[in-house]
Amino acid sequence: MTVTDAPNETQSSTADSRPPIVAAALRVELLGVIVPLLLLAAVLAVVTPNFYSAYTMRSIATQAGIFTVVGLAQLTAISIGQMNLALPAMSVSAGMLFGYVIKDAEAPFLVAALLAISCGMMLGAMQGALIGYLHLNPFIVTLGLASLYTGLMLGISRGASFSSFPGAFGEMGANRFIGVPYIAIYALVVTACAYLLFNKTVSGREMLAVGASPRAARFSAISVPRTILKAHACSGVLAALAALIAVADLGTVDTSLGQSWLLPSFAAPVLGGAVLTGGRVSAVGTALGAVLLVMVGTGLVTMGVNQYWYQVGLGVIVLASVLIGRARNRLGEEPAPL
Amino acid sequence: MTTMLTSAPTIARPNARHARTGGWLVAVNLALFVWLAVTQDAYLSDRNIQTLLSNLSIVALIGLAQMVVIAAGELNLALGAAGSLSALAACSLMVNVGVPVPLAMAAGVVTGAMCGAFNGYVIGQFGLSSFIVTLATASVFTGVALGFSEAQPITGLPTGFVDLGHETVFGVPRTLLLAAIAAVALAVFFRKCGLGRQILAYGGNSEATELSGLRRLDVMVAVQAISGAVAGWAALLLTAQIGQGQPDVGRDWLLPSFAAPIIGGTLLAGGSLSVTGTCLAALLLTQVGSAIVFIGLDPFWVQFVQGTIIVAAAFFDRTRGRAGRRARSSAETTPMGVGA
Repeated sequence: MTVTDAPNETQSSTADSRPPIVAAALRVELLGVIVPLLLLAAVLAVVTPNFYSAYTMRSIATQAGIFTVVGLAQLTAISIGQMNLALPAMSVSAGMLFGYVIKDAEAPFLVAALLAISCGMMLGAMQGALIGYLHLNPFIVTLGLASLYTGLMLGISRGASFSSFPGAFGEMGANRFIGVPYIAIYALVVTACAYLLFNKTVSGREMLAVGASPRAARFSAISVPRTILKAHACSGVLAALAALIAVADLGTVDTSLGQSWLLPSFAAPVLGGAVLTGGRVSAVGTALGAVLLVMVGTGLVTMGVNQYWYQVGLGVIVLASVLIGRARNRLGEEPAPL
Repeated sequence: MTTMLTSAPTIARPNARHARTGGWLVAVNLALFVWLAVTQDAYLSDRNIQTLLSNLSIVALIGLAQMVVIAAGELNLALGAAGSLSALAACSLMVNVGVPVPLAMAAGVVTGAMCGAFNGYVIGQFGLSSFIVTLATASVFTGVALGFSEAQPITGLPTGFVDLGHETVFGVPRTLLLAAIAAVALAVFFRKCGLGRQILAYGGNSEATELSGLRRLDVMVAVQAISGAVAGWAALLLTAQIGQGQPDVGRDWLLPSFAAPIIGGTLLAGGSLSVTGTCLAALLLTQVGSAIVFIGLDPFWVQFVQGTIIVAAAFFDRTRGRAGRRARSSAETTPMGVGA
């Protein structure tokens, strides 16, 4: 079971009486990303003969790895029915802190990485507190904090950049394990952790419950504000991890890190079958969605399409995927989530 | 000032709390103006006043474009992108085809309206959230604008058009007058027209309004098309001020577009709006922008100030929303724009 639903009553009672049908329906959710992925792979194989070179495959795996973690960061906010527009700002703040600590303060890798991750967690927790405890509008808060965090990062760093990192971290991005880039392996580990979070931990189930219905969650003795805070803190941690992985890949960090991550961060989860109103997410689907996104991008680039038209394509993909998701919800005769 | 706020028919009367928002904005604007005029010599110079008013006309229009959508409880993230596309369409018609200026400007506004109508149709017809749809179409519109222009500005605009951005009438920039026309039209629309009242009613309580026969599709197409048209108007006036057609003219519009209406008293939950409030808040934002330049604040910190203003606006919305919320149970958790 890869698509994670909120533990709501009707779902589980259906699961008890008709498990094969539910299982089939759940599998269909992932088919929504697997079928286009296979189709695209076949089309690209025909259209661009040398698409499946080892180099292209590695570049796709690396890019998809980064987008997977970016998508998972957004997915935790989506799980509670909200959004994190400050995700790129959190990433670049954590990435710049990492660069400063490891280069200018000459601290060991582990210290720098932990500091960057705690930075992401703090930024996320602050956002979650404003939304959960002070009941501010999630959209406006994350929009404002995106600018506030970016401004803080710019004001403190004054547009600095850090590169040529020392020791093992410098080679992390380039190293491969039986041909698979380390970046992709990190992304797989993070995906597995996110899968466990939403399927096996109380916190993850609480997030999904809040996403499905905050009122029902409150009546089930779940602290809604605390769950909102947790979800945004998780989103911050994952945004910081995405930054670390991207820095490992690029070998450099500057203030432009993550600038173009916002739309992909929504595209990957939505392609993977997540419902934007919350309560239904898929970590595996998000990873597959990220692969699909990167394959479209790489395919367009190898066919010589201008980057501006890629932007158009990205928007069209997101529109198409929400439309398909909507149609699937109707076909399944599920009540539209509110 | 007591009637400046236009509310949904379901909310009986603009209450005293809302009216005070306007007074408060006037006071802060005046205080900031006096402080800057006393401490900065150049603040009262003709040139600076002209710049202030020119900037005000653009910020006010951007805010109004977003306000229309917020009034229906939705949002429009594609407003800057639609504006860029409008300006590009008008400029290429003027320069490459030689279309007369007024006709080209009308075509620009229609382009914006069509971008918006497309958004509204997709949102309304398929029951999608305005957040994800306009996030996606923002990317599409931006990509189309940059792709067609190859990211190159369009130069050699006719003087009749460029003069619009620089002429003054009795000391008032012509763009401010042109922006004021749009503001007055919107105020009349929401106060006197049936559709305007229906949009507000929908924003106040969408369920009740749909039960009484109003279709969500119609409301979505109407508000998004108006928003796109106003954004197009703003982009045209800004292009006239700049003097050349930039394909990414609406790039930085997102933050001010939300800041102006929210600070001006438009509720994020929908159902009430204030044209006067949005314009006063736009003046405040313009003055703050000017103050940043005069004080010589490090440009690196400008974005921080903008973000702080938006978060502060969220606090205002919260305190006002609590006063006006009453029996609207869904408003407590449903974030705006996340419809279905």
